[in-house]
Parts: sequence; structure tokens; C-alpha cells
Amino acid sequence: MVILGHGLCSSGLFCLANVRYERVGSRRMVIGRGMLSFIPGVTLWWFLLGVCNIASPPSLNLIGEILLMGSLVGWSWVCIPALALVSSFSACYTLYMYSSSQHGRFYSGVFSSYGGVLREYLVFFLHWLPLNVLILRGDFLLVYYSSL
Amino acid sequence: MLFGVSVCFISMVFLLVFGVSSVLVGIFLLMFDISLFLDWEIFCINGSSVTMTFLFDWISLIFLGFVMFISSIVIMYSEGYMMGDVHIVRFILVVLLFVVSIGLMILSPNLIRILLGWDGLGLVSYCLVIYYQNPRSGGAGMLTALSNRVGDVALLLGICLASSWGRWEFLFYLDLVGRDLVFFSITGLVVLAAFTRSAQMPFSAWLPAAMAAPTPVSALVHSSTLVTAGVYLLIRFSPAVMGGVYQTLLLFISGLTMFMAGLGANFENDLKRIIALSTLSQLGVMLFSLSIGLVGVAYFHLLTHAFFKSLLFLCAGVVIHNVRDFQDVRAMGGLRVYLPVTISCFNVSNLALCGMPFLAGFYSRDLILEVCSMGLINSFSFFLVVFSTGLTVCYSFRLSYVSMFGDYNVGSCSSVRDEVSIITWPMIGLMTMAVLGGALLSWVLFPSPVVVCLPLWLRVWALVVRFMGAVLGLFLSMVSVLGQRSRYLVSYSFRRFSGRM
Repeated sequence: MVILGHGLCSSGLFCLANVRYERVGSRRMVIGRGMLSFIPGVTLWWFLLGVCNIASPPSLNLIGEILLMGSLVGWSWVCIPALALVSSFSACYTLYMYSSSQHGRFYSGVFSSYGGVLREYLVFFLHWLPLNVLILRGDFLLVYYSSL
Repeated sequence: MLFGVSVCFISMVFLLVFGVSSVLVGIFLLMFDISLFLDWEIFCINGSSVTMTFLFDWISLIFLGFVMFISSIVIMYSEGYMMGDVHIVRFILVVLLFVVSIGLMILSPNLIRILLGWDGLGLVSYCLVIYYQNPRSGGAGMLTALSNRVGDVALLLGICLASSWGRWEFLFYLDLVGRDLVFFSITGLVVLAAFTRSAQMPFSAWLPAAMAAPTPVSALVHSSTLVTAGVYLLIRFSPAVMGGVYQTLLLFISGLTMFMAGLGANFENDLKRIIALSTLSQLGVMLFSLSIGLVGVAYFHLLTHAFFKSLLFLCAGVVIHNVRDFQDVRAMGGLRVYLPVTISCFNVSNLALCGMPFLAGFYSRDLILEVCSMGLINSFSFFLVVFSTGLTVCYSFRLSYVSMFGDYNVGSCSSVRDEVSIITWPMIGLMTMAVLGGALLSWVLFPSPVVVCLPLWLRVWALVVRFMGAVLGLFLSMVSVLGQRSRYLVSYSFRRFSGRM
């Protein structure tokens, strides 16, 4: 479950990173900031996929994380502080990534750029949709693997 | 604009209709003592069923109706306030998402479903706080999101612990109180989550910082919806919290929070931060009354507070707009001449906050004070609650004196007026509710009056404290206006220490 969720989510995030790279021409955080002012549509997808990455509901990541953490906590309560820290840190870096790339004044050295195109939005949408819809039949995935 | 109708108008009508009908259905359920429980099992794994649960009873429906009513008014107001903003449609949509999240949170007795609304609230509030593209709001948003993430993680761990139950409807397990270690830990985690969301003592820094958001957002998010989510969760969890170590902890932390926030507000000079700190102290009052066992009164105070606090924020927004976007109260002054409607609303909500008889805050706040005076609590907590009442009056009066009386301090070239009807009508609507709301709600929620037996001096004591607070507020307002010359009146280090809290 976590593998599926993470596969969709991180693949979508890599697509987003590539879109940003194509627009800005650099991978530096400092140069590509303030993208909200350029292409708000892509910012929306950054946000949606980013919050899926930190297991926000409703996503496959959330249900996977609940099950996984539930089993770990059931195994030993010693895991609780470590799990809490992991979960907080993932929130930290994801929000940092979002805010440093999308928020703020944009870099004035970017001379030519262009908005989002339909193909890219379709790619993001097709990453995001199964991530948030498959949760409705999450037991199919689990039952299949547990019967192996 | 969509088909020639603005998105604000559509959402306002929609929310208003749903809010009013939700309150009416809630009163109906209250009259006939009905609760509806809808349960949809999504899937079942490892013997635990993940369900989508809705609980419709009077607590959730009346609160939901109030939230929708206030958000409809705030959205109408933001059409005027955000006029000229290119991204107003995005703004309104994010606010609507916010209302949806709190609705999901309110209607749920299930921990996973609560997490759905709870995480949504945290993330959407992050989007709203960083709405303006400046570093300050970015930092404030980060602080808000990460403080709230602590609560989210606590709730997530609670869910993991609860997976040994087989269901996540905590309502079914309330009879395990005091007998089960797992339930004890889950309650602790929920209390922690509620503390972060309601900005209680160790996590209180984000609430004043989040004032970097646009003012309509502050009115909606930081007065009546986001921060009250924690109180609401504890109201739902109150049978588990009562009578144990958590109750003591709650009493202690909430008392200290309300004292700290009241003291800090007296030495703060930013208009919105003063109001934010007063929200913080009112949250302390709610949790305080919850922790001395007055769950119904805490709920009552939650609702009345939503009215007058959002009104206060709306008025502050008008003031900030008109004095050329200054937020420092020392830059204002004499506004009562130039902004008559706004300042009347401002005064009404300030007085309601102080507990002026027969306004909204009076019914709930006085009830809490009287029950405290009846000797249910120890003298330390009694001191905290009485002193905080005085401090509330003190900072409210200081705010009024500084911003409304005296000379006009902004500058010679400014246009101060409150004639924009799309901004003043929402305020007048909320003012009506701030005047009548307390009485109406008390008739609905408490059909028989609460019996309070007190000697005369103890009853008068609350009034005396308030009067002293008002006088002290006048004194403090002179300190802040005169500034340099009177700095010896209150020692600088003390002022600095209290203002930084």
C-alpha cells in the first residue's frame, strides 16, 4: 500500500520538478521561487501531491501509513517516538519544499518562461486521481498481497 | 465572475441557506432528543473496519450552522475587503475548502474521519496564512503548519493505537475510561492534539503569528473555526478527560494560557495581535470551564465567542484599511469621529467580550465565573480566572482608548470613511448576533436556569474586578500613547517581557 502510494506520489512530484526545471532552467531553490505568480495551476498540483506525500487524507499514503504504523506500534511501543519524529520531519521538508519553490517574490533573472500545458496537467491529474480514489477499495490491494 | 455573478455572492447565499437550515435542524434534534448516526464501511482489513461516519446531533449541527453562518458573512465582507485582488476567486475557493474541512471534522465521531477534517484544516490554514507573498507571512505559515503538525501526528498515533480496538469510533469505547492503558494513552494524544490546535500554552506562538493572513481569514479561521476545533474535539472527548490526571493538566494549562494571553495583550501594540491574544485568552476560558466540568457552558461560550470575535476582526479589518494599512494601534486615534459605524460595532463586540450585561459574552462568561466562585476549584485557579477577567477588560478598554479617542495620528493625507455597504452590512448583521446571540442561545441550550448561590460580596467581586480593569486600561493606554515621557510608569523590562509572550 505504501509502495503504491509512494510510487504514484513521488513520480508525480518528479514530474513537477521537471516542469519547474524546464521553466526556470535551474534546479536551485533560490532561483525558481515564487512560481505561484507564474503558473498557479502547477502550484495547485505541487500542493496536492505534496500533501499526499505527507500522508494527508484521503490518500493511499495515509491508509498505508496508518496500517504500517499500527503494526509497528502493536509490535512495540518503543517505536512511537521514532514514528512521531519521522512523520513530523516529512511534514517539515515537504512544506519547506512547497513554500520555498512556490511562495515569495519570483526571481527577476528568469527572462522567458511559459505557462502550464494541458499534457502536463493531464500527467499530474493521472497521478493524483488513483492516489485519492483507490482508497475507496483499499482492501482489494491488501487482500491480493496477503493471499500470495 | 461566473455567468455575471460573483463567486462571493454564490458562496455567501449557499452557506447562509445551509447554515440557517443546519441550525434549525439542530434545534429540532435538540427538542426531540434525537441523534442520527450514518455509517458507511469503506473496507475492512486486519479485522478493523475503516468507516465513513457521520454523527448528526444538536451539538454538531448547531455548531456547523454557526460556522456556516459566520463564513457566509465573512465571504460577503471579503468581496469588499479583497476588492481589486487578482486572485480573489482562488481566495474564496480556499476559504470554502476550509469550511468543508471543518464541517467534516465537526460531523464525525470517528478518529480517521476526524483526521480527514483535522489535516485538511491544518493544510488549508497554511495556504491561507501564506496568501500574501512576503517572507513574514511565509514564516508565520510555516510556524502555524508545523505547530499544527504536532497535533496531527498525535492524532495519527492515536489512530494507530486504536487499531487494536477494531473500530475507530471512540464514542463506543468511552466506558473504558480509567480501566484501559490504550484508551488512557489515546486520550493523552487527543488532549495534545487539542492543545496544539487551540494554541494552548507550549504551542501558543502560532496564533498571534498567523495574523499575517488577510483579515477576513483571521476573522473566520482564528476566531471561530480553526482554533475552536480543538475545544470541540475535547467537548466530544469530555467523558474520557473528566476525572483524571488530564483534567488537572487541562485546568492548569488553560488557566495559565488565559492569564499569559491577557497579560501579553496589554503590552502588545499590533491591532490584530491584540485581538489574537484575546482569542487565546478566550480559548483558555473555554478549556478552563471544560476542565471544571462545565461542558455545556464551554460549548455555549464557544458559540457566543464566535460571533463577537469575528465581528471584532471584521471591524479591525476596516480600521486597518482606512488608516493606510497600519496595524500599530499607536498610529490610530480619534477614529470614533471618522468611522462611526465601524467603531460602534467594535465597541459592541469589545463590551460583549468583557461580559457587559445582556450582551453575548455576559451569559457564558458570567456563568463560568459564578460557578468558579461557588468554590469548585482551588484558590490558585480562582485567582487566575478572576485576574484574567480583569485583564480582558483592561486590554479591551486600552484598545478602545488608544484607537478611538485622542487625536488622529495617521497623517494629513488620508481618506477615512466607512461607507462601503458591502463591508458595513456584514458587520451590522454580526453585531445583531453579538447583541442577541447570547440570550437566544441560552434559551435554547439551557431551558432551565442554572442555580447559583453566592454571597453578595462574591457576586459583586467580578464587577469590581472588571471596573478595576477598565481603569487600569485607561492608565495603560496613556502609557502607550505618551510613550517616551511616561516610560517609567511601567518598567521597560516588564513591559518588554510581557509583550513578547
